[in-house]
Amino acid sequence: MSITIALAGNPNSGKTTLFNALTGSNQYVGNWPGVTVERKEARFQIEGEEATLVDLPGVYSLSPYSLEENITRHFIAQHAPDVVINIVDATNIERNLYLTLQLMELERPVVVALNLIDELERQGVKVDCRRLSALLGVPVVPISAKKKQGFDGLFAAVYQQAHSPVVSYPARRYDEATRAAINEIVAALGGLSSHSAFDLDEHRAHRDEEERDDDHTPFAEHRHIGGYHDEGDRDFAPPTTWVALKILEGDEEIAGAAQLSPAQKRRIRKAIDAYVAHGRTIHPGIDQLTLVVDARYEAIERTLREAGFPRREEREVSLSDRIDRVLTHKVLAFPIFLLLMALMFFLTFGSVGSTLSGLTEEMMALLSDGAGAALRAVGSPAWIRSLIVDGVMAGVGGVLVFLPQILIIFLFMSVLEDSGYMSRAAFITDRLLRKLGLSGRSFIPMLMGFGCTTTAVIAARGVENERDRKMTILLTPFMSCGAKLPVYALFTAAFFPGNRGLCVLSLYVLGMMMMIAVGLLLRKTAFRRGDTPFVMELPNYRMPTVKNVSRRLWDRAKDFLTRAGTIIFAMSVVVWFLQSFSPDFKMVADSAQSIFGRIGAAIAPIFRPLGFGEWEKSVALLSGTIAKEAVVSTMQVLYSAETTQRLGAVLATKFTPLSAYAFLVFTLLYVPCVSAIAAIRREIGSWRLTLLSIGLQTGTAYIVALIVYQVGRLFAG
Amino acid sequence: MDVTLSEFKDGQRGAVTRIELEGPTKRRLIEMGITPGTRVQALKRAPLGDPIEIMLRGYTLTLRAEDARRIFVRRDGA
Repeated sequence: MSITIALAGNPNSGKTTLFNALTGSNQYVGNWPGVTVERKEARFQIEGEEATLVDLPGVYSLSPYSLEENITRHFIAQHAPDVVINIVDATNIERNLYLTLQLMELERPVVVALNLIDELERQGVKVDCRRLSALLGVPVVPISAKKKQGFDGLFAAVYQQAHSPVVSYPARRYDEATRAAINEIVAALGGLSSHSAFDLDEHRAHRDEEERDDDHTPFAEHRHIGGYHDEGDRDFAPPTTWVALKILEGDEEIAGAAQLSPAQKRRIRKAIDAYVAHGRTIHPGIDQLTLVVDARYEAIERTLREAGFPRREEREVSLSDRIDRVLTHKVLAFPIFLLLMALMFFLTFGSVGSTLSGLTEEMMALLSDGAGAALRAVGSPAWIRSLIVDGVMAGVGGVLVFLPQILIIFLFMSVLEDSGYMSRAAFITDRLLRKLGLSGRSFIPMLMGFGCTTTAVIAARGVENERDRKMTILLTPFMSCGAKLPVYALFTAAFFPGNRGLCVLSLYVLGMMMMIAVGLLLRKTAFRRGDTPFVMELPNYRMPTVKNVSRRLWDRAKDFLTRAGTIIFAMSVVVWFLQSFSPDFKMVADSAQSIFGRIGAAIAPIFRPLGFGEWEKSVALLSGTIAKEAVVSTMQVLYSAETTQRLGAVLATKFTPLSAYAFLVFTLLYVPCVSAIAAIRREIGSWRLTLLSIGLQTGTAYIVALIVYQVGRLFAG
Repeated sequence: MDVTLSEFKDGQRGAVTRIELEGPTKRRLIEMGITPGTRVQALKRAPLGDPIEIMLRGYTLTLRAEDARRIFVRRDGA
């Protein structure tokens, strides 16, 4: 039988490094069912035995409030892995052990992998792992995830725990008052052996008695905690001591799920009241939750003292602190940040990125010419040639052009993330995004939106909190992307030659204003705050390693190419079909006769109140959904203007300055291109929210362009 | 007299006396180790004055000023 091992630990504890080091390249990356939190799994050999390692999200505790914590708690309680490896940052051991105790409370076999032990020893701290292990009651193995040291010891301990598990009961080391309260609640629940009090799942309660007498009595509460559950749960009765601890903490859900009799409730209430009253003699006003948390920390402090860990009240000024004095300096922080962002922009969307994109484009052109010639040579029908060359190759190729830019941006982001600067960027910009209910983590992806929405949406992965990430993805398209610039350039040259800069600037500002407005609206409605509060760590600066950075780039490239080969491939075929066929399924050369053209003509009247109700303009906007630059190229075709200058002259007869501006406003705000939509769908994880995004964009675009045109008309008389 | 953590100047030290927060925010902060009696030191503020970084239990934590305003601390020597 294969061993299932869960890897749990705090964020920044070296968990990902350990996962990669343990498993090499045979990873399977997916999502946890129903959510977009990444789930990584890998198979490897442990002492000659098959093992599956599941990487759990990085969490600080197992409270039921955040999605990541729920996933971790749920997996350990319900999937009941054979062994839980808990990676602990030795340089931050006191806080890291808080999670360790919570994992141990669930009474699964735990192995503590004490990471960064070398760093601690460099600081002159000698660690007695055997002593710590004896005190905690679980194996403690010193490792260095980065240097791949200590893995033999780790494997031996994991193997041992898998085959003859030792489970520790951390509550035994909590203070007397806490233990007394737990014992009293356990007694009220009917003692340690009875699980029947928790058999509350209505769905499962109707099973026949035989099954229920079985040792694996089902327990309902996990199905409800935070709404997170998935297939493949084992029937599992949580440890009574754990249930008692949760009730003592004041966890309403667990208390509710226990379906206590009035007598039990009274007895438990009495125990809790006595516990709180006793606690208040020491800390006036303290509540039951704080008391339990304090009991854990007190046990950790005592354990560390007994294991000979020196207590550090202050840190000596490290290199990181010295770097921070510059990078988070009151005056210098923002100029440095902006400089870095400018550099990133310049490299991505400027010379280097556009050169590489240009090369990709040329390669695609060669390929598509070659394919066209080859198809003609073998005498394939025109529609197949058109499908492959104009549909698939143009569509997929048009998206592949983004690949170099995406890789450059991810090279940057990986370096910023691994070095520790990303946290500082969030630290200094947090204040700016607070009003939207977002945190500093969202700043960089949103900024990227000025370059390319697709890239920015993918960059939103850096936002850890699921709710914030979704909101960031929904707001990013309001930042005017680079592909809209050709449209702005064309129209401003034709209509506002004296004020081109000002006109374009006004569009950028309008986009940001709409972003703020929609952000506030979302915050008041679908994305109300209140799930996870904002706390963050500023990890020590570290030198990014080539290996980590290139691994991430490879993952990103693979992901992007997969997408190009699937969803974008499909979308390209659909769009090609709409553009090349008439409603009676005949192939047409003139796109005005195509289904697309007909749809454009049909929807044209909708745009009349906005000042651009002619069918050419709607068809141009429609093709803008493939790529924003296509607005220009489509107009060129439809108005038979060979050059953009010529087109400008034609447009001057088709638009007034006011309707031109309204058209630009609509272009700025309406639905992003298919590539961005595909990215949004992929990253946000639901079609419902993707449609919400499309609706929000298009709705805002319509309303704002309408206001601009109608109000403008009043003034223009 | 107790002051709030947000009033601490960079480098000042003290011990937490009480936490007047509610719900998930309170839970998160106490689980990060801000329990009564815990020794804390203010380290630095972001350029816009918020969030603030503090040191406790041998590590550093960043929290928002609005939350720090609800955490009461007794300054060393006060």
